[in-house]
Amino acid sequence: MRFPLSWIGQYVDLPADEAAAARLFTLSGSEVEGMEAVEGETVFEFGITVNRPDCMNVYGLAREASALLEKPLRAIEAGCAEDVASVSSLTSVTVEAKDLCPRYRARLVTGARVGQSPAWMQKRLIQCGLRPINAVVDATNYVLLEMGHPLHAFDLAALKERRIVVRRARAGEKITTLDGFERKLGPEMLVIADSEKAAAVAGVMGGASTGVTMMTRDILLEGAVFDPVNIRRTSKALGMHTDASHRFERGVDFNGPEAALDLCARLITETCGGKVAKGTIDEISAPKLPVTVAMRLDSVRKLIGLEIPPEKCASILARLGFQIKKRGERQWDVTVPSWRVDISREVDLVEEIVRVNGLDDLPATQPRVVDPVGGRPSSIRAQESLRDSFRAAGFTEIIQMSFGDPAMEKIVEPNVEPLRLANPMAETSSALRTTLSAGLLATARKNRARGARRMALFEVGDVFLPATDGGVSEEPRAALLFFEDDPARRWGAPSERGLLHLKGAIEEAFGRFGCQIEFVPEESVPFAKGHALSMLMEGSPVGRLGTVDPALLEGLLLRGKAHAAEFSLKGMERFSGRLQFKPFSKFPAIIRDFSIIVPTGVTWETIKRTVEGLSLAHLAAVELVEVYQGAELPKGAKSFSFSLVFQSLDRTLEEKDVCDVPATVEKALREAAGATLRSGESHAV
Amino acid sequence: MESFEALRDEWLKALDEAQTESEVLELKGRFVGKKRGKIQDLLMQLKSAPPEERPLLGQAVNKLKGDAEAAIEAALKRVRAKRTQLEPIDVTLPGLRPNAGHLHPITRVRREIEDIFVSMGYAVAMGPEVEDPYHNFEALNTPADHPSRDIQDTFYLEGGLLLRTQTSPVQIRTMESRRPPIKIIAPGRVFRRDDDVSHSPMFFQVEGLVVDRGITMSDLKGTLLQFYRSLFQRDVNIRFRPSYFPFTEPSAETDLSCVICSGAGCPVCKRTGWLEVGGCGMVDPAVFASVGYDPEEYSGFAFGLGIDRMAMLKYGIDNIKYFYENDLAFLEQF
Ligand SMILES: [Zn+2]
Repeated sequence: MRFPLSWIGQYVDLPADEAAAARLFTLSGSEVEGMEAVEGETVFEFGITVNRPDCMNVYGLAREASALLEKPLRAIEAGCAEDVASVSSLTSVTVEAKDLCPRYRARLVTGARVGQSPAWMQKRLIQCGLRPINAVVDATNYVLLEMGHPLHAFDLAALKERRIVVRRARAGEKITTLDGFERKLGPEMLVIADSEKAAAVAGVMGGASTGVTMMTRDILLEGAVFDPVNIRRTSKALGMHTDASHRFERGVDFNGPEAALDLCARLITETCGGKVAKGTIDEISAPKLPVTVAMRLDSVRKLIGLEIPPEKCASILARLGFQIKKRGERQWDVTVPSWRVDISREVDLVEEIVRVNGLDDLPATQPRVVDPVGGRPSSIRAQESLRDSFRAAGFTEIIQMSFGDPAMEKIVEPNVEPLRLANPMAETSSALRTTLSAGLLATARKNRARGARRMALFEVGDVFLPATDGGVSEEPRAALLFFEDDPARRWGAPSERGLLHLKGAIEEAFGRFGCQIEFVPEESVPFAKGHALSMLMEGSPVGRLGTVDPALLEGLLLRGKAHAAEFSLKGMERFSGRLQFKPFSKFPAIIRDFSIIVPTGVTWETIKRTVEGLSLAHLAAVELVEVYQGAELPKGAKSFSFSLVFQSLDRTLEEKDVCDVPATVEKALREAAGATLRSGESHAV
Repeated sequence: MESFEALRDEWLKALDEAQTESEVLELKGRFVGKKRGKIQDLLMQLKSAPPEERPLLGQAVNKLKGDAEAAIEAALKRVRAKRTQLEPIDVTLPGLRPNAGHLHPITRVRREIEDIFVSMGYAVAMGPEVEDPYHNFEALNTPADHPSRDIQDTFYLEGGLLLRTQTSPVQIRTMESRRPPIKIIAPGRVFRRDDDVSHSPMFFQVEGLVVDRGITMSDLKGTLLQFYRSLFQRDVNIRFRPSYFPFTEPSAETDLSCVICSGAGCPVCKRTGWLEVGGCGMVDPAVFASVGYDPEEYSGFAFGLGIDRMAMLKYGIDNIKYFYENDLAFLEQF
């Protein structure tokens, strides 16, 4: 919203220094966002907040400056000379939709000769960014800019029966607005009509056929108050945001039409001649009484922590147009001026006082309160711990948008129908993500295209799943991805990382807070057959990992190898404090090494479980050393080398404590897995 | 005598060839060992030599013993030195970096912000990213059909839920769940339907809320001043500029003295010396009413700031889009 400084200066003495004037407005809430010279004068671009429609005009800003500078505010000369013919003999106004139009006031100018507006008026309109049209339209705009009340001018002769009806639009009713577009009106839209058809979309824009032209002689000037919500809905529905609707939807001064119509009528007759009919038509269906607010002076200090002298408070309010009646020593009744639609409570008055007094005066103190809960919740601490673990394991954190490409989501999570945004910015960002992995793959693809050939990525974030009650179930998750399409060719790069590295990183990360994850082979999308695992936490499935199906990668035009994991972090807070110290042995261990040959189908899990199932005395660990499959072994066979570690908490073990072990283990593995000893005998190390 | 010479040569050669300490010690046992050593044998044989030859022979055996012991000592020294000797290395080769990953800059700055507030006695509170209009708007004194809704262009789900436009709903959820004193920050993702050079449709925000008896706007100012000084490790200043937010009254924008130019004026602060860093204000009584707090008994302040913006200022990042493009060339810098 632009206004030349000289126009505001017409009503209050502003500082000569323009930068000082800009700072003055900015630090009181009417931010000066820009400054430029138009038509030889400085024009300020104001950013006015939605609660202050009273500042969206020259006089309102002058009033602000008057309070800030403690200087007098000069009045607007608004009166107009009237003719003898009375307005009610020349036209009539019927307000049918009283609920949407609490006030409709009209003035009439007859016998005008509509030409161009005077140069001084055109200059100000141009400075404010408006295009001059003709003397009448320009006068209504000029008054809008100066006083803030939107007015509309009708060509009285173009109105059927030369009268006004304020009503809701009829079913299927249409109007061609001043901008030349035909608009379909809805039944809740308010129109200004003549006896037959709509002549204007109330508070938004006039109709083309009833607007004032160079041929117009008799002009009906409308100064009305409309229901803000109704104007806002109409303006949104029609996609028309105008200077008028902008103000009406924020709330206009109920008393605004009076002076605005007078000034406008005078400006028109000054330029176009003609006569102002005697009196006004003023249909008030819901009178608005002044608002009075009880205010305790102590509330200022209580809320802002700074004492402002009562005289200062009174002077600020008075200059802003408030009337104060003292009710007690430190209690006032404050009457709010009609243009301040934003003020109805004591706290609003406090803000006015603080705002004008200057927020910069506030001392900097500290609240003494401490939150009884305090710190980070354990669910968040668990997530942060995972982030640290994954980073330490070589993964780089990414953060993706929470919405993504539904097609990509479906590839990774084919069984979940993602929730859709009603108003997405693009189809490729229209689905709330149901998986983090889809985005990880997309990120890998993007980075691959930019030349990265090996990457380890992770993300911790929420996914959104359709809930059974029709709502949304938001679930915190973590996901990891290894991608490689080339062996390392960089100094110090790690050798190839695969599914087992991913599994190890997860074990390590969860182990840090005493949480053991169980991995169970289980096929799932998008993993290659035989290369997928499910993750169980305390017996419940929480996620999965695997080597991404190479065919799927090819479909994504992502050449290389990818291993991915994704799991839920729901309920992780229960592991808070779970990590506990275990007593450890201070005595040397005895280690027995084994090397066995088994059919290739036998898993390590089988071997480990079998050995653990023997409940060998003092067995502290079963440690895998090596898996071998190759030329030295018969076809269809592989070997496991592993160590059994024996250790006691209270004494040094002796040979006799473990002398039966080799035979027992051999026998059990032979029976459970068809194992034979490869090296022929076990030995101590 | 000649066989002594040959013996000495043989021994010296064997000691020369020995590579480890145990080899040398084994030779020592063989040559000069008290039980089975060769010297011992020779001394025994000496007894059977003619008496007139004994002194000379004795001298020769002793000399052989002395030479052997000296050679053994030398050999031991040599193999021991070898054991603690290192292979040569080109110390100018590049360092082998640990294969660690990187945390996202947003995570790094978010943690810094959280740490500062936690040290000031705050609790970290979380809430859902998909919200209902009540918690995102109505309870925050932003009724439907009010122009204040236009400040934040909102993503809606089919069915009426929405993506939160601010983390302020967490304020409401916290106040609904407990009574004062409350002193929380709520970090997290927020969404606005806005995508241009300086806007991302998703970004990260931190909101703060303090509610108790006797909380004032001066407390708000002191809190933010201390926070920004901790975050930027510098003697920055802030100023409050009156503004409007539906859920605070009085409301203010916080301007931070430019951390790039220290207030002298630069492109980042558009030559004003000030950076607009976030809104704040005293909790509006209407908000207290929606959670059943008595505004006559309690007062409070709330503030918001952008984590993205703080990260951009801290690291000199000039484009908010970088955060969500996830280019490794960007992420690996942090
Ligand atoms: Zn600067």
